[in-house]
Amino acid sequence: MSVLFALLFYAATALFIAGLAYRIGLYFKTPAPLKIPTTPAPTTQSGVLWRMAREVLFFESLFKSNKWIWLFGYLFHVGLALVLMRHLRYFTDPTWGWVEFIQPFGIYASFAMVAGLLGLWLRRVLVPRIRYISNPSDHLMLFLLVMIGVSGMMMKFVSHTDIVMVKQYMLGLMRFEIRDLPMDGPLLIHLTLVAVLMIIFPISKLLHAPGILFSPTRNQVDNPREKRHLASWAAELDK
Amino acid sequence: MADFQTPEFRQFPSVPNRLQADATKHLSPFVAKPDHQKNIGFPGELVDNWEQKAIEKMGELLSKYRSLQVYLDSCVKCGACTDKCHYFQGTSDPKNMPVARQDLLRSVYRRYYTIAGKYFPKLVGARDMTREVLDEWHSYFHQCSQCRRCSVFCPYGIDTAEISMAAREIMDSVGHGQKYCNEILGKVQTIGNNLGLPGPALEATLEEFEEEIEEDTGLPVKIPIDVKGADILLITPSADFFAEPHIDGLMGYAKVFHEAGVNWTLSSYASEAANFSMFIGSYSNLKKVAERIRKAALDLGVKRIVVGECGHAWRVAYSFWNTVAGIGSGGDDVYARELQKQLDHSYPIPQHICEFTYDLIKENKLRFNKAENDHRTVTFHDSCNVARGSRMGNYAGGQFDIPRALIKASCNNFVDMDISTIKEATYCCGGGGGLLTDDLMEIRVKGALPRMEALNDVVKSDGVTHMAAICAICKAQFAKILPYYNFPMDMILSTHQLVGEALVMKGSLQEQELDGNGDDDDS
Ligand code: SF4
Ligand code: SF4
Repeated sequence: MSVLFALLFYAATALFIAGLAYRIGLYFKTPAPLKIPTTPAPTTQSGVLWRMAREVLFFESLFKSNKWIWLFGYLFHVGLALVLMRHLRYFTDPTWGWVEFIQPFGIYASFAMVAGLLGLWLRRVLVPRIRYISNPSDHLMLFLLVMIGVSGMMMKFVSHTDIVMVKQYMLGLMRFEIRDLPMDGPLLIHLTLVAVLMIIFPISKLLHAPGILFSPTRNQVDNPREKRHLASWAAELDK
Repeated sequence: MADFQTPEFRQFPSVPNRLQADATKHLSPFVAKPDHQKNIGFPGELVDNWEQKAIEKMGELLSKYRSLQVYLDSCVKCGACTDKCHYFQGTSDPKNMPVARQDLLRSVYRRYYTIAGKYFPKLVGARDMTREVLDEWHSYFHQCSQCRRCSVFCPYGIDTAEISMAAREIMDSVGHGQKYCNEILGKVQTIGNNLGLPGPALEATLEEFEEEIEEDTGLPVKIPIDVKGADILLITPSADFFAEPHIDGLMGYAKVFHEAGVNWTLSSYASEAANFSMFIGSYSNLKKVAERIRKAALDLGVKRIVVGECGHAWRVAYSFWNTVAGIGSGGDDVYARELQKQLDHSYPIPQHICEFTYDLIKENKLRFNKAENDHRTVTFHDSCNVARGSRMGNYAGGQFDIPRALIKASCNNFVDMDISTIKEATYCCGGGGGLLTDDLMEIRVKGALPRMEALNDVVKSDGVTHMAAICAICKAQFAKILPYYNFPMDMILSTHQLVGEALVMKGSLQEQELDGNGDDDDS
């Protein structure tokens, strides 16, 4: 079983990294032939960085758009970020100081994360407009994330897992050594679902994470009069 | 008068909740005739094996446009954009929700270009390219005015306009274009303007306007055309030559140019600012039409290029001209340098007529008698393409302040509409993006609902009598649909009409009347 999970994780990691690298490479090499920032837009590169930072850190456009979606989405993402940081302790030895420090917050964050997800899901079911645009995959994605959160919380609050052993297992994996994994239900569910998530990440809507950084309406400088912007395939047409 | 109901005003402002499936499915514009298609480089009618060709074209566009690739992948179906589109608000048809509109194309993208869609189509809502899909595209991608309101509110900036441009280009490339846009694009490329108005007819029209201005002001204000060696080339939408209230705007520009004492000209070869190529997403046509302006500028030897009041034309001019035709600054390749060497870079290139007038106001070079507009209370309609697709002045948001500054300089009574309906959140007039055609009247009327509600609000609360705009399409659209909402059609004005009417030109009858010197005979 420990071997099986090791293989699963190696495969998932490989697919995750390769898939994401391929996708990011694709976005990177696909040209944006025209200047299409949604204006009013920053007129300098540093202004664009600031705009992007506001989008990534505060979900500015979403805030303007819909306070409920913003609230639930933000709860989920901030919760997730803290939880992920908290998990670093399973992969570092000795654990970094700041990771130690955020441990207690990470626990609350898991509640925020699941609450946010449930809020989003409720809206997806109850608001006719959002129900209309939802595909089965959108519900499944929420299910997957909620289950990951809940199974993780089970280990903390309901049936404790031997996390020292888990940590040894993870550290082992990083050195290509397979050690023993505790055979607890919640843990195995948790790990399996995380692996599934990693595998589907590069082929699903989770691509919004790198996508936003490549969004021309958000990442372009508004200076078309001052500087000629030309994509390679478009330059050919000048000849 | 029509076989559909003008929507009722709702509680203002409000969010639509009920959905009416397929409410506007039947609103499909006329398909372009073979001639219209061929004139601009597309197959005359639906080609054999078009499903395959459409999918290939999609692949080509995916590799050429980062926006398309990223936007098709990134939507999380959060629903934030669902209530932002005026066409959805006016029709309640769920396919007019921006994300649902994107999905009409995204579903096909997923089927042919993603792993999930290839193997689990039902799961991710992927579907085959079929005749039914094509018809749906033809309806709903022509119920998008590419106003970009949805892109403001999407957390990833997903711009449905980019998607509808791509869809239209795919349809064109398989021989299934839209008549209105494609017919007009043919005229621009053969005759020089959307109307197909030839040079001599244009000259005669301009002479009439000159006479009218002279009668009104006592001054020989000129509207010159094809003057070699002029300093400024004015590129303006051809509606300014024949439609109301556009003409009054043109006369306003002429008065401002006259008062500024500049040497300017129109061009009969490039007598059109509009460039509908943007609406159909065709880069090659975009370039061709813009190159007419490049050629006119080179032939006439002008130093500056000023653009008249038109929304999408200003987006094309401001955002795209430098790219597609080297009209701008900072080009360091052979092609761009040819024109850019000739131009005077101490002015923005191109410059908007509002920027031009605004500079004069700031320098105190224009005298106004605001009382001329005292019989009006004016509000301003921000045009989508100016608000969300371009800029004026030297800071972000100048496009909101400058036209308002012009109105306030020439008019005592100015009121803004509700903040959620102006500036970057402005609502489309309902007729942009290639929808300004009679065969789409129903969607035009219904799509105008949110703007009409906001207008009604200030009419009731502040006694607004007029709405000024800076876009030829907005003006034409409002002139047509205001009556459906029981407003007078002449409620819509050109911004430079207000400027022109309040302007007190040196030596004019208006000046004499104000200053009381000379005799007051202005009959
Ligand atoms: S706001 Fe953006 S991400 Fe959300 S549903 Fe609309 S297009 Fe998709
Ligand atoms: S671009 Fe405008 S018309 Fe098109 S979907 Fe978005 S809001 Fe609607």
